[in-house]
Order: sequence, then structure tokens, then C-alpha cells
Amino acid sequence: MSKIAIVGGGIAGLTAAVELAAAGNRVLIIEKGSEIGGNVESYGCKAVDICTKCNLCLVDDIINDVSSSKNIEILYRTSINDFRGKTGDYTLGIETDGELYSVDNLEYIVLATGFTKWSELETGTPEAFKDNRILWASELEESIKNRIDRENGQDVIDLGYSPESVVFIQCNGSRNMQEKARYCSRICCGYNYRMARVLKHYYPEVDINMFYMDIQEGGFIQDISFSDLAENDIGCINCKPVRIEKNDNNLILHYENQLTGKTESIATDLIVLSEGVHANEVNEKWADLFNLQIDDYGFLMPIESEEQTGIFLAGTVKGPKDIAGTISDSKNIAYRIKNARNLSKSGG
Amino acid sequence: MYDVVFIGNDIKSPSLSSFQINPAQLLTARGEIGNFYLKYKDDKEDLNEVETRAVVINIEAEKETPATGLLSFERNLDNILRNTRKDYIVIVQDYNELAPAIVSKEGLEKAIDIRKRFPDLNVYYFYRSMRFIDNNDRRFEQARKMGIVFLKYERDNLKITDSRELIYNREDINLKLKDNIIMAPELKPAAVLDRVARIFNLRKSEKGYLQPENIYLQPTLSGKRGVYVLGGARGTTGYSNLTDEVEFTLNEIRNKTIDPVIEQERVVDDQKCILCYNCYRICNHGAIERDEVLDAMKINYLACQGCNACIARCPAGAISIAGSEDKKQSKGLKVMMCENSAQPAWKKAGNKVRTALNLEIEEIPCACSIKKEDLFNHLSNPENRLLILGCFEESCKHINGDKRGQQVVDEVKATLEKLDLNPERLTFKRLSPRMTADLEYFLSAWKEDSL
Repeated sequence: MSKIAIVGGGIAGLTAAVELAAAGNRVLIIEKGSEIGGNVESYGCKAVDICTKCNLCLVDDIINDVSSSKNIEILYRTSINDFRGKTGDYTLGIETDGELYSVDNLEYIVLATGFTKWSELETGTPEAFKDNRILWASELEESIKNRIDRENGQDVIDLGYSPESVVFIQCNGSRNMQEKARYCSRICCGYNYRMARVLKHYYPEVDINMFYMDIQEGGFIQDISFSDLAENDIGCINCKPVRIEKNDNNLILHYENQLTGKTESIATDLIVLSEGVHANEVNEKWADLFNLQIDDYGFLMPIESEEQTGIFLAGTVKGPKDIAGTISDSKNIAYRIKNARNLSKSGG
Repeated sequence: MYDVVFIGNDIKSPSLSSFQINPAQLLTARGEIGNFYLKYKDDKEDLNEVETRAVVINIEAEKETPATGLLSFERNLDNILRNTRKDYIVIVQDYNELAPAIVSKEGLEKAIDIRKRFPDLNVYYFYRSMRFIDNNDRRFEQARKMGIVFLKYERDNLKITDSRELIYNREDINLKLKDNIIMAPELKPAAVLDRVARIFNLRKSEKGYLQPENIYLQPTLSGKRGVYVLGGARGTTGYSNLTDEVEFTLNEIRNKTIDPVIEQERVVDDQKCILCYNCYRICNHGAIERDEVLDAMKINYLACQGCNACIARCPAGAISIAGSEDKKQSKGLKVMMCENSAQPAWKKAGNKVRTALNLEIEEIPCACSIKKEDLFNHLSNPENRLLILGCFEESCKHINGDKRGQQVVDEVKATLEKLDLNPERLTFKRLSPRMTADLEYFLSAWKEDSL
């Protein structure tokens, strides 16, 4: 019986797998790591007194469905090194724990290998950012993930100290020629806005400021407005700081006030850096292997219609997307595969 | 029978049969996903009815121009620009509040168009945040290269006076510009949305759009299964990913209604059903309909999401899950966990913690499925305690199941109070599936407190 191969066990791949498996298709997930979940596994819930709509709950729902589905098989620690065959009957050469295998009879292949965080790139951490009081958003995430909601006034996010002030700096690895990303990553504003609210929830006294270039929408169903920011007591400074000065007591950010043109400075205990969404380097391999096109920034685009070739792209291999956007994109890919399948079955 | 009826703008799709109804002419809607019946008046005032599997509400948001008397995006400006004695044209975005990304896109297009056709005019573009969708990043770059002057402002340094003069002050620039000021629109829900919401019995968002803010409704679900909301009917961000959302919606309709995968779990016993319509009212997904043949209520399996709210609220005990057994009487400390939040968090807690806590756990599909009588049953023994763990409202899979659960708990607590039966023994808490650490801490504190 023919199968659908899904490359990548992150949220994009899992969503497509669940949708296709529920319709009775046999699905093979090929995952390079030892666990499924991908990037979302490292995220933490960003609820405060209320839900901030970070969408993580959707992920758990999907992971539950994957583990209970009888139609889904997962190959862990597996990479792909060969692709052959013809439309509707492909074969993939794979390598699991050093052993070579091939899986054939693949009707469709979905590439869902996601993105790379800016901080994971070699060029990602400039010298100025090396300080334990300067965190990437994903490092703060670790603390948020491990937080405990104790109602007795203890510190709840374990940073090793209790910051009195936090500064978020947006647009790292985005909108910058030198950083090879002229594009806006679109998700970091919403992401850090939620982070800021979580910090405010656990440290009500903390002073929060955000350096921004342009505030983007916060996601599918949440827009961020200046009044939201003001309501949550998050200050905004419209520029990128020019210099970070470090001393034993605190960090001092120097920036140019856009109204007055004067150089001003702000002292803080903690700096959180947003991280741009970058293309996964494996995209180049996919482009070669599956005859796909790579855009200026390394994201994938299909050359021919995906229905024609049977090679589909799902989620952030195509460009920055948030969790909800990735899930709906992958669902849509699954729907399209089902449609294509029904058409070919009915001989149309 | 159509595959889809569009209320508002029509979207043609080769694989779906469709029909269009003007929202002002729509009169009533009944039925559920798979079988909606819509009554409307046609242009000749004749009454008609159509049958459809799904409904898409696609109504543009209303555009309001802030600061009246100024030019708007819609207006054809050619005459004004051809005859103007000024050497500039001004576009102002984000005047009262941040504009959604679609407005940034339209603003940039407008500016580029004016610059191309009227190269002698300086174009000043005032904005607070440029928002990026589609190719806006490139458009923004192109516009700057073309010599459009982008000036960022904050609340304090840009003002439009009653005499329609724009005053802008920055350290190096002081501008006073009168006339030729185009204001980017603010998006507001269309007035007709109220009427459409009433007809379909839809809950609205705080801002008045037809999609309540619930993460499970993304991208275009409305809360009532089979009814989708697009673009300006969905919210101000409804335009940002419109192409993708249209494709998703049409493909979902095709996959969920034409060739669906159906799991039949819940059944109504027609001999017990008293047609009280409680289940119909309580269902958040529009999954209950009347079976005219059996003269009883029945479940629409396309719409049913399995929250069990109908089972909990049926006074006749007519609804049940096939193959389920009667619950046994529980003792001591008991925790009811929602399968969408606390239960997955509990699973992740690890065997060691679970064994150490040694609690009686009941998995429930939603906090809305708790029954008063079950709660009283357990709490009738003064030694017993009960903890109910549900979701946050915006992440409740059953739209407002957590609120319904909370209502039941509040009522039971009030009764216990009256009977002097210590209401503190009953607790309700909201969690997300990622709050494993919170859950562990809370459960051990609750257990300690109870003993």
C-alpha cells in the first residue's frame, strides 16, 4: 500500500500527518532528532492571569493525536540522502543510526523541516551580546517553560536574580542587510510582547521597555496596539540602540531619541533579544534533491505546481510563520493532498 | 444543495458549487453543518430558500477616515492632484491607533502610484509603524528609493488642527502642511455584522467582529461549525493572510463537508428525549439538530467536537457515549482534569510524581461536562474534596466550556454554603497543557491543604 512521507517531525509535519492519517492514509514521518515536536517543544505557555493566545495548546492537541494514531509511523534519527522514482511512486534513500535503507512506494512527499533561529547561526551572536544578563528570547523561554506559579511571593522565573528592569531589543537577525535578512520576520513582535507580559506578571514591579523599529501584528487573532502596550505598562522606544555598555551593576543602552535627535541612555538589569526566523540550511539540499527553487533568503518555493510533482512544502520551510499560521498552512497542505488523491482515484 | 453559500462577497472555486446572498437580504438561517437552510429576499422582493453544506461570511470591514474633512484612500484624487497649487501630497497612517497590515500595504501602493503619476509632487508619508505582509518589505524599500519621504511620528509630535493643518516637529524638521492630506482609514466592523451574528447565532469578539478570540478557531472558524468568517468579517487582522485563509477555508469545506471522516460516539435515545432543547442551547459548536422523523433531538456528527456538555445538561439522561460505563462512587480526594489542558500536563509530570501524589484522577473532555449531581454525590461525604481543572477561556477547545464549568462550580459552592457543608472542599482552577510544574506544585499544595 502506498504511503505519504513527511520530512520533519515539527508542528508543520505533525499537523499534516494527523490530518492525513485521520482520513485513512498511511503516513511515515522522517525525523532527524530523537523526539518529535521540533522548535515548539522548547516553548513555554505564556498565559498570565488570562491566556495571551500564544497557541501552544494547539500543539499539545496535535502531539496527542500523533501518538494515538495507528496510521502514523515515525522514523527517528533519520536523514535523507537520495530521492528517485516517478510522480506517485517515489523512493527515498534514508540513513538511520548509520545504517542505509530505502523506503519506496511513496505517493506524496511533504517537506516540513522548519526554520533556524537567528541565534543558532554561526554569525548570530556578536561579541557585544556575550553576557549572562543578555538573553536571547529562546533563553528566557527556557526559564518561562520551567516556571512555577507559586502564589506565595517567591521568585517564579528562575533567572538567578530578580531583575528590576528589562529591555527588549527587536529586529535582531531581521531587516538588516549585514545579517542577510532584509525581510521582517513578523513573529518576533508578538512573541516578545507575550514574553514581556509574562515577566510583568511574575515581577509586577519590573520596568519594561521595548526598542522597536515597527510593531507588527501579534498573530492571527491578536493585534498589538500602542494602547495594549501602554495598558500593560510596556514602554516603547522607537529605534535600535547604538551601543551597549556593561558594568558590574547594570547594562547601559545608548540610543538616539528620534524626536530630539539627542543621544540618551537607559540602564537595565536584563536585555532580551528577539530572534529573526531564518531559513534552515537543509533547504539547499532539498532544492537540489527535489528540484525546488530557493528565494533570496534561503526559503523554499516550488517550481511547478505541487499537485503535479507530488512534492509539497508545509510550514516555515517557505518563510516565517507563527504557530497558528504553521498549523493552518499544514492543514491546508493535507487537504490539498487529499483532494489530489481523490482526483487521481476517480481517474480525473 | 450548494457546497457553500457566501454571505457578502463571492469567491469562485472550480471545485465547489456556490451561491451568493447579500447580507442585507438574508432573513433566517437554520440547520447545521452539512445542511444549512437560508431564507433570503431576492432583488424582486421574492422569498427564497437555499440549502448548503457550509456558509462563508465574507463582508468587508467599514473604513472610517479619522479627522473628518480630509481626503480618504477611496477617493479618486486625480483631479485634485492635477490642479493643486501645492507641491506636495501627504499620507498619514496610524493617526489614532496602529493600523492593521492591510492599511500599510494600501498606503504604500497609494504612495507609489501617486509618485509615479505625479512626479513633480513631493510625497510625505507619516506613520508610526509600518506593517509587513505580502511584499510590503520590498514595497517599502522601493518607495524610499523613489524618493517618497517617510517620517515617523509619535503621539506628541504630529498634530492635525481643526483647520486641517498638519504640524510636525522633530529636532531637525518642522513642517506645517495644509491641504492635500490623505488619511489612511481605520477599520471598523460593518454594521450589518450585528444582523448576521443574530441570524446565525454567533458570538462576537470584543471588537465586534464575528470571530471570538479563541485559539481553536484559527484561522477562519466562527464557533458554529460549518460557518466560516473571512477578511473584514473576521477582524482587522483578517486581511493580513487573506489569500492563504481563503484557500484554507475552501479546502476545509471540501474536506470536512463533502467527504468527511465521521466518528459516531454520542447518541441521543429518542425514547428518553423530551425535546426540551437544553442540549441545543448549550452546544457551542451547533452540533444538535432536531430529528423530524423520530421527533427527538439528534447529534450532527460533522459538527460534534466531543465536549459532552449536552450529556451533562440533559435533564432526561437521554444522551450517552456508546460503550461507556457507569462511574463508580469515588472517595477522598478527587481531581477532574480536562483532556485538553491539565490532563496532558499531568501525563508529562512523570510516573514518580504521579505515584507520590496518589490522587484519584478522572479525565473529562471539557470543564463544561461536569454535572451538578456528580459533584454533590462526591461532596456529600464531608471528608471528600474535589478539584476541577479546566482551560483558559481563549484556549478552551469548546469556546467557553471553562466558563460553563465555573458556573456549575459556583452554583454547587453556593448550595454547599447554604447547607453549611464547607464549600472550600470544591476548587476550580484554569491551566494550560504546558503548566506541568504549576500543576505538580498546585496538586501537592492542594493535597497538603486537604489533609
